[in-house]
Amino acid sequence: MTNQGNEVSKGQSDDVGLDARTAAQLLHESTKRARRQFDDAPPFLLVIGAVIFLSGFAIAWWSVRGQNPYTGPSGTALAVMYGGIVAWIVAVSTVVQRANKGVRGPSTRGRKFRGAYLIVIVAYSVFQGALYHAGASHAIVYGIFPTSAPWLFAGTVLITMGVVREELRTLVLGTGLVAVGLASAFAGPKVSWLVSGIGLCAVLIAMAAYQFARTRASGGVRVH
Amino acid sequence: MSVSTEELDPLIHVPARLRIMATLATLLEGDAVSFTRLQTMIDLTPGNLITHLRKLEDAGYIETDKSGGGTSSLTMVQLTLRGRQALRDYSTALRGLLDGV
Repeated sequence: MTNQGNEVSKGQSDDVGLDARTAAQLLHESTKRARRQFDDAPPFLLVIGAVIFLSGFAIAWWSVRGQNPYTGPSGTALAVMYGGIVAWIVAVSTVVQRANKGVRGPSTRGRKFRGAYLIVIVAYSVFQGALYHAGASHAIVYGIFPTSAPWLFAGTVLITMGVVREELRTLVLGTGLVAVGLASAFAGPKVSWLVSGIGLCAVLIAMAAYQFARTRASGGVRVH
Repeated sequence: MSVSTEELDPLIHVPARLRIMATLATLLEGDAVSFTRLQTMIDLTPGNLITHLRKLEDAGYIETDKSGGGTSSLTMVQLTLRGRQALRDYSTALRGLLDGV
């Protein structure tokens, strides 16, 4: 309950009715507050993610932009980029855990098997190794593949989840990631880093805007 | 200006129960929340919350599911489809009242 909501409710005995205006205000505030507390993708966290992805991939692009022949991003650039991404994932996990505390049902189903995502990460790395072993160029192994395959993988998973759960938001997010993956693949090994960063940033900003609009548009009755 | 509230569902039109219903309605259909989490969010004493939940459950607006026993017991609360519809009707009626002012 926001302070305003608390004030509204504290002024009323639990068994006494409300006047319409106070009831509307209470409904609006309670809905808004509950949405905020159950929200596992708060806009601020998505905006932070957008900045991290954009700057991380821009650093990687900066480290490869003058390379000829292409060898891939420097160790420092990769450390900064992946360090930022890992830190953001940890923050997201913490927020998701807090939002879903005490909640059970379709939206939290699959929590027990979340560790299975590790299989995808390992498979991705092994596949990258296989490409290298098969003689693929550095442009493919350290350029096109890491800037497109993860988003194609993740996008495919999200599209599937969106279809199964009938969640338009997840479906759109998955489609956005697939589009980023494809655009990166066509951009070439150097520019693909920048395209990935800009694309992911755009996807996360769009998600943040959606979440923000959803939280603001309370299901209750607005009181002006 | 005060508006007549006779058209509003008297079971929901009480501060605590309105807050409970609004909170539960933000969950996805089929999702349930633990009694403890709900109590923290609504800020009611356990006894008070139980009383209100019982009234809502008797009306078929919510469902509770208790598992385990003793100190490890866990009660989950969720809005039923009927409860969701009742809150929608309540919101519509409330909007109608305010628009008519």
